[in-house]
Amino acid sequence: MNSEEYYCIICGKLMQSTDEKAVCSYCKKEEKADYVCPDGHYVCEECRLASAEQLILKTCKSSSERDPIKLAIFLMKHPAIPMHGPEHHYLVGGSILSALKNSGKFEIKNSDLEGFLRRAKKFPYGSCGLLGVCGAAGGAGTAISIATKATMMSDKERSLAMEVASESLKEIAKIGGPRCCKASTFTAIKTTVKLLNERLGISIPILSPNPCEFSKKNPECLGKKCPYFG
Amino acid sequence: MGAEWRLLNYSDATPAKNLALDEALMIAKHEKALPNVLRFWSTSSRCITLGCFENADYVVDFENCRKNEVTILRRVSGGQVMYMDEGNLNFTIAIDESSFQNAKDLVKAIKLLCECFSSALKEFNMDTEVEPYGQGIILNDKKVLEVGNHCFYEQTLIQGTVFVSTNLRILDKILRHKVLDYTTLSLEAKKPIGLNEVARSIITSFKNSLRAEFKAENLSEFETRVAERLYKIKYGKEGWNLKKEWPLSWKDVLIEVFVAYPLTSKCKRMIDVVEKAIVNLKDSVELRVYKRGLGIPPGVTITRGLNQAAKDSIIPSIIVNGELAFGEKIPSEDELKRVIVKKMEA
Repeated sequence: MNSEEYYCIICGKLMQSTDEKAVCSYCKKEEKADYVCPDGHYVCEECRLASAEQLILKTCKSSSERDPIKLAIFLMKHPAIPMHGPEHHYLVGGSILSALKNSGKFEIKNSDLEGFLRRAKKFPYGSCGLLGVCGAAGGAGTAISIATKATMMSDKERSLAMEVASESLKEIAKIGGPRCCKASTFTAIKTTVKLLNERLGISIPILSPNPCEFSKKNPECLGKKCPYFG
Repeated sequence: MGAEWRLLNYSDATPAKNLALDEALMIAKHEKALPNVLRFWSTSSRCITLGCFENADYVVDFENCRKNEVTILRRVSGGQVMYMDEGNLNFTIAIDESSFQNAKDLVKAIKLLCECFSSALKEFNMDTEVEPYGQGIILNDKKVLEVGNHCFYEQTLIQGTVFVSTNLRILDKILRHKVLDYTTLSLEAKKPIGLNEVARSIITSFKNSLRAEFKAENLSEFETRVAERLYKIKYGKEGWNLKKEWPLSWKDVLIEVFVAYPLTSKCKRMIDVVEKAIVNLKDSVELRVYKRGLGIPPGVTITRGLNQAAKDSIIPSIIVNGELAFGEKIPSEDELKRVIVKKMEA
C-alpha cells in the first residue's frame, strides 16, 4: 500500500507517523501508535473502528472534561458521529453527565452512563419532526433524570427532568427547520446548564459554540437563521 | 485555464453512443489523468437528451416524439432537456476542477466557460447574455445555447448544445413546460450558418479567453472500450433513459471497501486482500475505498450495502455489487475471488 497523508480529526493538522506509545484522546488507552498529530492528539485503533454508541460511552466514562459543550464538540468531530442523526440524542446527555461527574456536583458511575445510553437510544430517528420531541431535548431530560435518580414516583427530580426536556425543546423549536442536530445539541446543553444554575445553584462553565465549526461541512446548514452561525 | 487541451471531433451515428462517449471521456480523464478536452459532435437523427434528474413524462410529449421520430435519451449531466437534430452543434467539455483557478466555485467556473461561448457568438454579430447560473445563453430573450454539468471526483463534465439551425417546429411539439422560447443562430442572423463555422469560432474564443492550446486527437482505445460498455449497460437501455436507473458501475463488479480514518492495521489488511484478489480482474472490477467521515466524492453514489454498513458501523467491511459480503472479518483472497466470480457470472 502507498503511504498516505492523514489529517488529525480533532484539530486538522497533518499527522506524523510514529511507533512510539501514545494515549488515545478519546478512551485514554495507551498503546503503540501509528499516527499522532503535532499537538499530541491520537485516536487508538479501537476508537477509530468504534460505533457511535461505543465511542460516546467510552469517552464519557474516561473523560475529565467539565465543559459539556467542549465534550460534545470533541465527540462530534469523530467520524462515527454523522452530521445529523439519532447519535446526537445520547451524545447530548452523555456529555452532560460526564461533565457533571467531573465537576463533582453529582455522583455518576459508569453503570449510570450505561443506563443513560439504554434509555436515550429509545428516541428514534426523526423524532423531532415525526413525534414533536427532539431527541437532543429528550436526551438532556434523560441525563438529568439519571443524575438526580428521578423516577415516575419522584417529585422535584421528576419535575426538573421534564423542565430540562421541555425548555430545551422550546428553545430548539425557536431555531426552526430543517433540523440541525448540531444546533439542537448546543441548545439542549446550554438550556440544561442554565436550568441547573437557576434551580440547583450549580454553575457549569461552558464554551460558546459560536461560530459553529461544522457549518462549512454541512450542506444543509441553516446559515444566518441559526444562532450559532458565525 | 491556459494549458494544452485535447480537441475531439467525433460523432457516432447513434445519438446514445455519443452520450456514452461523453461519460467515457470523463472516466478516462479521471483514471488516466488526461488533459482537458473539448469535443464537438452532431447527429443526423433527432433526439432529446434529458437532464439526469428530469422526469421524462413531465418534460417530454411522448406521442409527439413518436410521431416525429425523436429518440428519448438521458445524459449524465444535470440541467434541462436538450432537443438535438442535424441543426445542432453539440459540445462536451471535460475539465479538472484545478483549472478553475480564477473562479472560486462551480457556478462561476461554468459561467466563465459560457462567457467564452458568448464571445464566440459575437463573431456572428450576436449580442448574447449568459444566464445567471450558467444554464445557457440567451439571445433576444430566447435560448440559443443550453448547458448541463456533472461533477465526478475532481472532474467536471459539461454537455451542451448550440441551436445553429435547429428545427424549432419539432422542438416546440416535443418539449412541455418550456421556461424560455428558443431561437437559432441562423434565424437571428437571417442567413444560414454552418456548424463548422460555429465550432471554429468557439475554438478561437477558448484560445483567446482561456489561453487554451488545442491538439486534435482521436479517441483512445480505453475511451472507445468504456463508451461501448456504457452504451451496453446504460445509454442503450430504457431503464436509464426513461427511469433514471443508474448502473452500479461501468464495470461488471463494484467493490466498495468501508474503512476507518486514519486506516487501522485491520483496514490496511482488508484493502490489501481486496487489491490482491482483483489484481488480474481490474478490467472487470471497480474498486472504491471509502474512509469513514471523509464524505462521498462528487458524482459517486454509495450502494445500499455501504449505506447499511455505515449506519451499523460495520467497519471495516467489503460490499460487492451493493451487498455486504464481509463485515469486520477479513476474508482470504480465495473467499473474496469466489464472491467476485459469482457476481461476474450472474
